Amino acid sequence: MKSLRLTLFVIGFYVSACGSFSASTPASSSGSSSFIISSSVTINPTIASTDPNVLPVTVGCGYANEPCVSVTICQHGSSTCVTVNNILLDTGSYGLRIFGSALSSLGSLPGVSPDSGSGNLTECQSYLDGSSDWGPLSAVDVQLGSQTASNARIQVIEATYPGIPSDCTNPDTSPSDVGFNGIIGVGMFASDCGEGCADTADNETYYACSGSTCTNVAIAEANQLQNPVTLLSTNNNGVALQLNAPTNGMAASVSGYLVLGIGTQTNNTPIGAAVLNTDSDGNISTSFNGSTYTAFLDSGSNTMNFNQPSSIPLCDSSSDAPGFLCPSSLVTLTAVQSGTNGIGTSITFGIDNAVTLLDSGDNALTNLGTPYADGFDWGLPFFFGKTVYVGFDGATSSIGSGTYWAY
Amino acid sequence: MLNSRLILIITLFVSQAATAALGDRESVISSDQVRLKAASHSKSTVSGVNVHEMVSPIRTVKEFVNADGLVFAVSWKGIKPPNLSVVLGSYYQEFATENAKRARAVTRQPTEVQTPNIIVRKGGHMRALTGKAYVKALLPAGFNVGDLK
Repeated sequence: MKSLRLTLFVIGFYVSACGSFSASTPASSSGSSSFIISSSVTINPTIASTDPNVLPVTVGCGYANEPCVSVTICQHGSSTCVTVNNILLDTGSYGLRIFGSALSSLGSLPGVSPDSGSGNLTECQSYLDGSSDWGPLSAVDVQLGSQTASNARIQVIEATYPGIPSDCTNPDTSPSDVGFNGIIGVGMFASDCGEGCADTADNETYYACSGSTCTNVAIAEANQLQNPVTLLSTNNNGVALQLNAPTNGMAASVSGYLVLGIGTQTNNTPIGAAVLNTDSDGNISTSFNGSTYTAFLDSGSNTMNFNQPSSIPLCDSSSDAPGFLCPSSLVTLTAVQSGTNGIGTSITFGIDNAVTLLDSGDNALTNLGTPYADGFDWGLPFFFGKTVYVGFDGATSSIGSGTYWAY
Repeated sequence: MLNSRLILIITLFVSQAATAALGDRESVISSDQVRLKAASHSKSTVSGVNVHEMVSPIRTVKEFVNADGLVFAVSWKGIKPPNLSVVLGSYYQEFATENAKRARAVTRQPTEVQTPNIIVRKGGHMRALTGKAYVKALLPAGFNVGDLK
């Protein structure tokens, strides 16, 4: 039913006539391009919102280009549950974090012990802009679609939880403060900190808190906050995010699906997807306007963040969109994404006047941009009109071995 | 008792140790290994300038030194950004003043803060947060800011 076709230019790798890849032969990691051929991608038409491994997604549920899902949280082994809506769907982070205020109907939530010592395991997770999420971990049952991650750790966001360290800067305080009830990080890694937090107590991230005294602790990767999809018994090797595109680049909202698993069901089997392997940080590269940037796909960012040409000005600081990009009219640009396996795709995208876009009141905006001189953060607009696959670290699927992005 | 006295002495030493930061001399960079809890400290040359790299399990911090022996830039990558009051040194206050003027962004975006003297940029994603800061007047002639990685 949704059969959108888009042209991809595939660089430096074998592609069969039908557009599917042989992903088993890794190319050199130099990213050099030896040839360009075109392929096509068809959005998977078999997804239904009632499928057990599907979470409906709404874009524009709160602020512009915010993709949201609902999750159900239950006291472990109990039918005491609450469904929390307006959870930001984020391919740029790992783990499920929900404001305590959105879980209050569950009553007291059980804490989690640190790997050694006493107290409640508590976390300060940092974001790129200097903001943080502070609060204890809890073990609950997490329902994603019709699947359950049992006794899974989530972070309960609670800026007033005693003992917040001074370097836990600018913590999120409430849903109204940030525009969502929680964040579900379904990016390509299982744990939200990785080896660093296992190797040293001086990780400035995980703490054991007793009363108002919190002490940094080392914590094994498996005991850190986990991307909840990796904890499911099936459909756990990745996710697919399929979003409709706003007609003519603007809509009040658009719908889509988060599909659990890659190539494990009919509804998550890729059709002619280009597979871009990432480096150990989860990054690919992007060539744009004569330079090459570190890049990633980030549904949790609501704009195209990139080093805009000097011909595209910033919006006036006194306008309704300070910090956004404000060309006088739509500008069409092209960039090339390249995986570490040499796969490259040419992406055409648009940037329009952010004041005009945001003043429209629409919340699904294809051409929203912000400046980022040091990298290419492909935000939510990239996902419109595509099915984007996130291949989890160390997991294999019909199209490759994680970590990879595919679309 | 002896232990607590020893800890006090060490604490005083660490807190009073000279800190190399933006604008400081290369000769005091080694103290930052302690301040940044870095396990190693190595030196190399990138694009003709000396680069001191301090690595800990949670982040890598680099300090870039110009021909006058002054730290003109710092960069970082890791789980958590370094304490900016350490790495920005005497420029921290002007950064804090300018940063406070920014309305809290509705969403999480890469950010750039410009003060009269320095530029601070932050970006990346969870587990690989990145950033850099540099003093505009101390940049070596012809140095490409893109090499501050």
